[in-house]
Amino acid sequence: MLQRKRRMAALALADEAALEEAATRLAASFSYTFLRRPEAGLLMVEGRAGNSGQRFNLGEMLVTRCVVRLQQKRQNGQDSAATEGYSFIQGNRPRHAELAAVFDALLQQEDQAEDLERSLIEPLAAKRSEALQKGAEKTATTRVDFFTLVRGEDA
Amino acid sequence: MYVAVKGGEKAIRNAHALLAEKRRGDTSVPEIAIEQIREQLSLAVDRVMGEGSLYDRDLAALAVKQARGDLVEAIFLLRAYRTTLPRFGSTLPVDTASMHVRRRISATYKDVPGGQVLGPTFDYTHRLLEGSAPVCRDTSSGIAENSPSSSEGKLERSQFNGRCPKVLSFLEQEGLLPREENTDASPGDLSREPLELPASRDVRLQNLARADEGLLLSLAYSTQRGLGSTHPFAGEIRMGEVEVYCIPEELGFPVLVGEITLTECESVNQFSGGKGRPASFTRGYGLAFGESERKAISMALVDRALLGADPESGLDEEVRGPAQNAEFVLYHSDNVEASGFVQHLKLPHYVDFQAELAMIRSLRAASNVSEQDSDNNGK
Repeated sequence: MLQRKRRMAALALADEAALEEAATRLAASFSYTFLRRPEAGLLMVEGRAGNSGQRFNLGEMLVTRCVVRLQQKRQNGQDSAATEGYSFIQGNRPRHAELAAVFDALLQQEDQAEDLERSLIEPLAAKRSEALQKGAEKTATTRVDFFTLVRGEDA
Repeated sequence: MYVAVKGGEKAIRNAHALLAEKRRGDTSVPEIAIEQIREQLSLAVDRVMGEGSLYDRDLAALAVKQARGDLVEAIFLLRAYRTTLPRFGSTLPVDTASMHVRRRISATYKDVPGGQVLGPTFDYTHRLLEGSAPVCRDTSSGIAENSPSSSEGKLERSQFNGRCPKVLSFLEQEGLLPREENTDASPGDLSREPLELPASRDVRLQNLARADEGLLLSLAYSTQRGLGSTHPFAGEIRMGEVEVYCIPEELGFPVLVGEITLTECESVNQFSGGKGRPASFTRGYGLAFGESERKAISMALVDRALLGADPESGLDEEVRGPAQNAEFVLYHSDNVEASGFVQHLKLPHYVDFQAELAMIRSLRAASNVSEQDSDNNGK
């Protein structure tokens, strides 16, 4: 579960183009049907008073969700057991939601998981931590040290 | 009360066509793209998301464009659009302590663990209109170029990784500031149930989060000017990205949906103690979508002001100003409602007005008659 959670997070934050590219590369090896076509809707974002107290509704956010059922095509003509892939993506992103659900399903196909982890998830995670690092470095340049001046009446 | 009217279809159609033409402006100037609004007018987008109560930069940018930059109109458009979308559920409460911080300052502690980072702020700017020559001038005197090139911060970057502890936790640890009580009760939802008084804090916070920034700012200002003074300090202001999780029913574990930008303000306020309570600080809370610092600070001040008379808070403060009056604040904070009611005055009120007209005329006629009568009697 933890592993799936981590992988789904990488897929949700991924650049859509990166998913598209990986999907094109693997397109011949699997087929899928929609259990739930990409659909946009709302999630109510909750906060907490003082970040630790009473929950409250801050406002909604737009998301797109999608569920697919996926099978791998095998050489011998026998398809693999089906897996279900699920996605919840920020914004109105039907294609991203579809691809993320597809990869969530593919990553549950045991003979695919390791390869995809290496070729897709790891680079996505690396890209993300690099972006965060870059952002933090930019922010760090605005770090201030204020010092208080002795006021006249104190002297 | 206004009345239903018929007709005017053609005039209305033409008015809307004219509106579209005005919206486009001079066609020799390139049309602005949604992406340009999203990227370059991002604070307008943030305000529309916050008060429209719907986080989506693209929809908000579209609304800003369609509303010709009238943000209250854009907020209305977004509120109306959200009603057409299904609600999938709620997220887990966001955790601002785990924020990837892009701005974080404290007005209460100079040396705060994690440091103070200014981020992309208007603070300390000279408020000079930039651009090569905004208006024509006699250039013989010239205006000095503003060149903010400094290497000051670059020495400091080593330890900063974007995560910072919460400033108010230091006061909590000393016992000088009560911790927020965590009941985990499911919060009330103003987008589904109308406001009722007395409103609990969860409902108040939702109301304030959607509230008109201008109203909140003025109310916050009024508390500082003495109309219900709460002596606030900005304990911490932070802005950055938080991850948002929801638990899809089918999966049963939390799934990352994405990241949203939030601005949070935690105010520290004076409380002298009394009624068996030792002296301690109190707190107000502001949280807003996007980079909305003015809104978050104002919200924290008004939240604190409203806590005064909330029996749950135990503060037992006398209501002396409008910001402390829950009915006044909560019933007048929504600019969609307010704008609707104020602007409905434009709609035909012919029947009402005819009735008033008839009334005034009859009153005047009656008084004329009685004046003539008294004149006659006097003769």
